[in-house]
Amino acid sequence: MDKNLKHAEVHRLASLELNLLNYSRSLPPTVLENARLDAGTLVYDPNGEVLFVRFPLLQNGVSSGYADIAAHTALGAPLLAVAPTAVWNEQAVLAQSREAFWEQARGKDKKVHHKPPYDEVRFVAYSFPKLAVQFLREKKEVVMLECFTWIPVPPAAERPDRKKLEPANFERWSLLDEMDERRKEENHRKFEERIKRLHESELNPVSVGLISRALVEPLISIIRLTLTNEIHFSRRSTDHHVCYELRGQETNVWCVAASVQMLLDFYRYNYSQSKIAQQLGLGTLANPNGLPYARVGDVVTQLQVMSSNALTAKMLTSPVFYDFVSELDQNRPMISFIPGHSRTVAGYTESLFVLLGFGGFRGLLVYDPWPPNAGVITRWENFDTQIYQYAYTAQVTTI
Amino acid sequence: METGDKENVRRKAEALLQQGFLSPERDPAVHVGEPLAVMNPDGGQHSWFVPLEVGPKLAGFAQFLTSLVPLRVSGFQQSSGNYDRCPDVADWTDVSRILGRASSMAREGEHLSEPILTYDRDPSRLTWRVLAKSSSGASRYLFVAGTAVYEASGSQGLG
Repeated sequence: MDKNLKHAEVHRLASLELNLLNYSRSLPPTVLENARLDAGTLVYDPNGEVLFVRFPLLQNGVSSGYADIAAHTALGAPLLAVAPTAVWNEQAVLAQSREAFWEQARGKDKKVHHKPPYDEVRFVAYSFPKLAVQFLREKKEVVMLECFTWIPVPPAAERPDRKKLEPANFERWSLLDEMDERRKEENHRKFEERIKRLHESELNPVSVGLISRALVEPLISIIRLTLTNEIHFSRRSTDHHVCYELRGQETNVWCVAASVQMLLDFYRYNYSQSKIAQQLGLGTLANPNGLPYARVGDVVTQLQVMSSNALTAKMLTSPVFYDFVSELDQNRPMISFIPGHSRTVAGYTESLFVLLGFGGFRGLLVYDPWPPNAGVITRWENFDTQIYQYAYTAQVTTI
Repeated sequence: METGDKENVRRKAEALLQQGFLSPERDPAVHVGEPLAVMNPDGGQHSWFVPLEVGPKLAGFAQFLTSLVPLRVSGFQQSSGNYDRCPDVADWTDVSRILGRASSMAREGEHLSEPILTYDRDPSRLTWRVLAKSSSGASRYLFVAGTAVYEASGSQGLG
């Protein structure tokens, strides 16, 4: 699922992300303005895949720091770090590493070497984000020296009892191999989505390696800095207006019934909330009860039963933001369970700006049946401040 | 609560309205009201509730953590610019009206405490809580969420 990006694509992403960062004024205005991307340094994961590219930044030929841009979708977002005050000079670092290599080789073996015992040198994030220089001969490691201390990095330790992502202080380990599969999958989705959106936007003029507000300014009026989608009557959102209605819960414990009602109403199955409550075993208006956690699966069953199986429902555990995005992009509303409460989701918004690897604002358009007999439409709920336990999708079965 | 805190909260709410929260276009009729503290059930402050008012009607509200991180902006109006069916601001902010609602569920001889703005199970389920105490010393909680009044059920499921 996850993948490496081509170098040209990483360069393009670096230019786009740094221009957006510069435009957002998240850094002092002089830090990135009129900087150019210099030739990047590939940094490998210990498993051999390219992990990110470090681009030195130059302002009028003078170093103005560097930016690390992901070359692997498992990292979740293109912009990993910007270090405006640091200097990155690949050739100087390599020269130091060679010197250290020879010094250590001479210490071990007093013979004079005329020919280097390596044929390739590469940078490795031996313990992400710590860097080392790896010397290889015929693709096999000769030695790996930690950057700047030039201490040899020991081979990967055989420690079967060690938990993933819990390395010792000075241990080589692979971020790509140790990352949880589910996290990797989510990161990949996030990354691909961002690439897609950057491609869809009209930001091409700012992808050539120069960072400048003047380049972004004229484009801002024609691009949206947030991406938003809301449920419509059909997927042809140009023809029809937003088409989703709020139902307040009719008792203080019928949030699930009200949520199921909103979703079924969208598909034109117009049941009363009392009928839905009865189907879900939630009592009557006079004597209502909530849905016990042991019966969260009943929502799937009833969405299908109450649509005579015209809807195929599914329950997602611990849904992530892109679970919502992918359903809403298919024009399908969702039911969302949070601790003690149920609501429906009919839209999302996401800021295009990404700062130092963290996303901008991510929000959901929530049709919340609380307070009773009224409900509220939340535009927007901050996705990063809520705990999402379950989500339910329903898809019309077609031929 | 410091007056300065509340002023910062109001400014934050205003900024969210300008950014298209509540409605894509900022409606000049919407006025940011006086922030109220939302308390945790155990007594500490959880967040801020900021009424968004159009005259006597509550168009919606913003909710912020005490660190001023926005939790959400919610609206009661179902069609843009129409606030007729929104609740009264007083339903959510006037302590005497809230107490009046709670007293409709009080039993004879029960004494009602001052209402506290809190939440029922999840912070998105905002409600006022009133302690009802009988002369025998027995007590129970009554909740007032807008026009709805109910008694704490102790239910552990989703509601």
